[in-house]
Amino acid sequence: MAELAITKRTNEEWLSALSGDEATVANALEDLRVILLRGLKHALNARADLDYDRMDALAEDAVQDALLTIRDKADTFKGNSMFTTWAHKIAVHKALSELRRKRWKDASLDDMLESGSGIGMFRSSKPGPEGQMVRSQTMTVVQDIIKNELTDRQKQAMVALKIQGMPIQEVADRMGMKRNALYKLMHDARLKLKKRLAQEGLTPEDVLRQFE
Amino acid sequence: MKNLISRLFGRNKRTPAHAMGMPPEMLKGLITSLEKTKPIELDCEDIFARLDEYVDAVLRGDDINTMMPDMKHHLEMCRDCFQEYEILVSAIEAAG
Repeated sequence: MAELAITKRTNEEWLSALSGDEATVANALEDLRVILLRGLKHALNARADLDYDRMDALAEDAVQDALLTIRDKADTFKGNSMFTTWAHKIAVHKALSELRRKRWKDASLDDMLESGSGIGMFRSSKPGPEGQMVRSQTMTVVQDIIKNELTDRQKQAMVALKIQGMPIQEVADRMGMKRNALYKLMHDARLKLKKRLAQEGLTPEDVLRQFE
Repeated sequence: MKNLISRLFGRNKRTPAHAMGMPPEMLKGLITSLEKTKPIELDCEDIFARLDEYVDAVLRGDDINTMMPDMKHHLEMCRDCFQEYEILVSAIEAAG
């Protein structure tokens, strides 16, 4: 079995092999391919939430792509982990990015926002039946804060991320932002809401009790 | 506070959570995330940069709560990074 022939390497040996002559590099990359593919196929197929019918082929492509990155970027490996962990990280990221892209390729942010569960959810609260408990008024306060304090882009992102379950990278791409900038946008939104709740004398814990 | 009291006990019509635009589950999720929100948080790229180091620490059984609390916090806040983390652990374990 080819798998039994894989040479165990230390981090230094991996790095040395990947900067060696052509045959040494090819040999190391082939070993790494076997290791990464074995892990990635198993990990992806074990996930019920990653429903995709050509998972093995996707894993093979992701590993191939990862190997190119690993070979080119091996000198950026900081040595803070096992080399193979770093390599797995790159392969997993490639695979998940591709899976998310395929899963959401036909999804439009505009369509989401116009759907029933879209931006309309931030509309003013509707009056409910009389006789509800006082705790509902707390929820009205919370709902109004959310409606009034968040920017349109924060609301858009919230609908896509939290209601539609769209991955952050996919939302960021559609909003013309980097993933980091979108995380920051949502972090700012959370900080603002938390501050406004505090100004109303409410903590998140107080509000969560309304759900009990 | 005065504003809150006036809203709580004023003559406003009372509204159950389910009659509002935002689904209760989303509202609950949002408020839960506020509870965990910190003034400064690592972003997704910070996490990716150190995910290999973090995962090795987890697999060694290191005390990550003490060693890398900000990493752990982001993984609790970010669904996509957490999925990446879980799959990475699974891949490493399967690869042997």
